[in-house]
Amino acid sequence: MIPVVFENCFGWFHPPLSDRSGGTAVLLCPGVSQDFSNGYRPFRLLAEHLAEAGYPTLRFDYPGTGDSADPESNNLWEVWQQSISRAATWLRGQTRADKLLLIGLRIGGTLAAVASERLEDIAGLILIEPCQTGRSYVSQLTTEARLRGAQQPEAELEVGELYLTSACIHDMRKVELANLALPLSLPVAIFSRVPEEKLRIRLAAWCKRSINFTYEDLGGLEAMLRPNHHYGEPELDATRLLIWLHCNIPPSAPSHASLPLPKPEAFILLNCIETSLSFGSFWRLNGILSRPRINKYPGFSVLICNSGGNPRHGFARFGVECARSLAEAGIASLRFDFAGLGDSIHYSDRTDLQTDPFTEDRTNDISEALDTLEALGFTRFALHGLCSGAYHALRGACTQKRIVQLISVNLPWFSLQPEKPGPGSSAQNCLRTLIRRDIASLFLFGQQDAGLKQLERHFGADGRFLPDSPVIELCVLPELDHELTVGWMRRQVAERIINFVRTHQTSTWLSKTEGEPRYGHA
Amino acid sequence: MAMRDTIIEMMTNIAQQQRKPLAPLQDDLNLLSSGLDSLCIAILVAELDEEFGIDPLSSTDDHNLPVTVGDFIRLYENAMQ
Repeated sequence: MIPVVFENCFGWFHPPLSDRSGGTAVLLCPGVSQDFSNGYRPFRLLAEHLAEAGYPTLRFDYPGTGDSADPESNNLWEVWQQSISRAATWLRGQTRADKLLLIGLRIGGTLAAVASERLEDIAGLILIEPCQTGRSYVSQLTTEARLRGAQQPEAELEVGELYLTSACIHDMRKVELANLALPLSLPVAIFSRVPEEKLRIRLAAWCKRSINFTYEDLGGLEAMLRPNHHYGEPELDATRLLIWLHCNIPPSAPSHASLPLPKPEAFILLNCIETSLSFGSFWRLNGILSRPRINKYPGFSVLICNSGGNPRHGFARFGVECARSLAEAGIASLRFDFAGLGDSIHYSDRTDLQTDPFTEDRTNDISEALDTLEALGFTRFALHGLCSGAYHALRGACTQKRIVQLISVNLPWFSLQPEKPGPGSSAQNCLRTLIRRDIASLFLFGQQDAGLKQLERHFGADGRFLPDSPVIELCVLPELDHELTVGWMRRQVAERIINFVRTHQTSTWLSKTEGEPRYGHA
Repeated sequence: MAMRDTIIEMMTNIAQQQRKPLAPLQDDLNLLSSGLDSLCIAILVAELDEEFGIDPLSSTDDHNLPVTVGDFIRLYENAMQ
């Protein structure tokens, strides 16, 4: 797979194994929000299957999602539709494909269907559990935001990394799958958990207009909708999707001379330049190096770990926002996927294996990421993680001698095994190691976070029994939720991280922070 | 199928899909203690909207959001009448 950049979008191109051009190419349209994160890795596996079957395939992140840039317009619905058109143009230009097939997941399916009304040369449409109305999806996002208790802007909606303006909500609510004027001859397949009879009733308007579609239950595609931290369940099985594809839109013979593959491009953003890196043994690990335009801390880089089973973008895209905020402050970073998560591949013969986000030992992954940064000229490193990423960062900081800073946010536990507090506990041992090795360590928690209870279990209320050391800092922020679901939470945490990095770049250790409630030792 | 049965069936399916252990669904059970988190309930609201074309939650202010499973079912039953 080759990282590509077009029109503010980041994506991956999966060329077919055979050297060919022309024929049919596939454009994958992801979901957004949680559907994006859950479907990310299964979409990579699907793209690999499609490329193996002879279909050049592009998967990409909509503006304002994943590794893409933030959108210039504030109507995300409009922006996402435009990005599909641009991705289609890029894919046609790159492959000289005669025809395009669109595959969309959840609201990405709805977007793909909308695009099929307008785009030329669409040869087929596969919708995976599509949202049948934009209104129902807006209802879902609104309910989620309200139940999380976040104060909402008037007539607008903020949920996770998404900010939907009133114009965007208005446009989304108007869309109904059943009312779309799809070309009559377009082969359409819908893979859904909704029973066939019910789905056909809901899409009765299509039948009246003689738009036929093939119904399939989700079959082996459940992995696309499963919470991504679930481990040990059946992986994606795209067999039925590929069979439908072969029967309806076979990869036609190449009609043109072969084209050179696209070269990986750097992603030029306002404050930084981002480059996709493949590294580690057999280049199985993937990440994005974010270099500030003006590097204020030469030789220093922050290594950002996965949160739970999410790809490197993190909860509510905090990994990306944090990396770009760091870059704006002149600090380089590498956000990467552990083996078996996101775009990184497991260290085994089976490339499709997922790993347990919590229990898998990540020491080797962190070590290989540090080797890569060293080869690029970096010499001092901070390790940062949120939730399970904080746990792996803590372990990494205790085992990797190259780490000078640890930035832990909402650390859920010090040890995977339940243990009694005391001098021999993992919690005490870890902190002793950090102090002995002079690793400046920030433990940041939301006031209601369950991880703070763990810390208090080992180190007393308000962390009063934390070791008396200038390198250990505890920071507790009120109203911060575990997954940083609202923009101001993410901005506040990013600001804390930047201040911490800056403070500890000097030779004198200063652990005092100003403003918000703070416990521990100064 | 009655609205109540549809909602209970959807809750059970969503809990299964999202790998959440579900408490016995009784009317006085707090919605957020049922095992369904905010995302699950949001998915439930969207599925009910697709099934019946209604979203009574959207016209309910934050102070009157349904607290129990029974409140939630009644909200939809009333909206359908």
